[in-house]
Amino acid sequence: MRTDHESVQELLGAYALHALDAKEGERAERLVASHLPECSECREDFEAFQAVSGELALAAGGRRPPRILGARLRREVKSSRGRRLASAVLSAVAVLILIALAGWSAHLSTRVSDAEARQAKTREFLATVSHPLSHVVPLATARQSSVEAEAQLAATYVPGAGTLYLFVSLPAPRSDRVYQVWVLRDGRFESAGTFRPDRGQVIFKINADVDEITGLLVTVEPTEGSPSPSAEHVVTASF
Amino acid sequence: MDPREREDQRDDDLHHRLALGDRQAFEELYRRYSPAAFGLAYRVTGQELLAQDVVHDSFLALWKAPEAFDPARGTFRTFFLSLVHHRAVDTVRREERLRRRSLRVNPGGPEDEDVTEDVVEDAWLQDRRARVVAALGCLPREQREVLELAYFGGYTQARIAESLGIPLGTVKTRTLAALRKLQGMLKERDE
Repeated sequence: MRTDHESVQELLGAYALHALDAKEGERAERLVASHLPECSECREDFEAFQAVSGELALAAGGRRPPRILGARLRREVKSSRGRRLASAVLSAVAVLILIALAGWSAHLSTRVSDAEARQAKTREFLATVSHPLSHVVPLATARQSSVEAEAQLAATYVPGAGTLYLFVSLPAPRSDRVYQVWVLRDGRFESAGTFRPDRGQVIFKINADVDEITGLLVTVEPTEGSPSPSAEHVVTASF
Repeated sequence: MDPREREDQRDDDLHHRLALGDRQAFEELYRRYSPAAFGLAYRVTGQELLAQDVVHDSFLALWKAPEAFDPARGTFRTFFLSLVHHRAVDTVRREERLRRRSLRVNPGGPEDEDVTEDVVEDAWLQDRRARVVAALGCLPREQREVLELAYFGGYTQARIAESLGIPLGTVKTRTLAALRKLQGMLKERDE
């Protein structure tokens, strides 16, 4: 006997195969949006159908595309501004950082523990920001990240100094999560450590020359950190 | 780490780099997946130029909006080839409105496709392809027919029912049965 569940499965299966007309497709989309978040069984089935649909693609057989296609894409990718960030000195951002930092330092004085170490780090950070050759790079929060609206982020460095400071103003992650910083070096992500913001703010020191790294990533990870970045990007930047 | 997991992890790393605007990562993903993407687009559209447009638009969409892929919801390979498939199906349906086609699955079936001679692809991807083709070959003929018409022909289930002269419900039942069987077989082969 047919059940409602089977009808839902049929619809989800056909949707995963892109085999529905526009009207049925809309019905499936509504179902995916309304029913799947609360039904783990249908969600698992739909993910399995999508996986089969993705694998079926391989059965079409491989075919080397014409060179002109790759050349066209490379040209377009090269000329697109993409998400690369300009690494110009942005004095307005530097001022914002200093203002934020002043507030951060003020509350430090009320916390005796770790204060000296933090103040030493603050001095180093200020020395970097105020250096005549310093670069301050505003960092973008990852689109659709949970902190998009609240975060303020910037990196600062003096070329050749071997140190990069990340200034971060972020909401606290869940109690069983930390933020983890990754640097992209020779095409691989290396962990630079984890942190939890102290009353929303953190200065994070990264021992790396900006000439050696091509990107920076901040993700949300379990408390002990992860060996490779999770999907939950908070900050992305390239140098 | 098992070789399949290693390749999936490699894809995830490349995707992370892509999200940072790393053009080399884009280049590597193009090298890894353009033959599979082009093979799929050509199979569905049946035309070289349409297939080129589909692959071009898919890779460009990936470059411009890498956040569309969520590793928590599956592998990068599944996500990207599904994106290519969707675009190919949209293209072929748009074209069909311009000129009527006879009901057929475009040429280049899995049995007669020479995947090694003309294609520079990683061995692991060829291995995965062989497993899917073998699983597809194990389906009952009538289930395989509706699945291939939908997936490689780009036809809606309603159109398949009309053209084969069978009830829409039968097309739906056969499709779901085919998907479940494939899912089971691919899982078994992965273990």
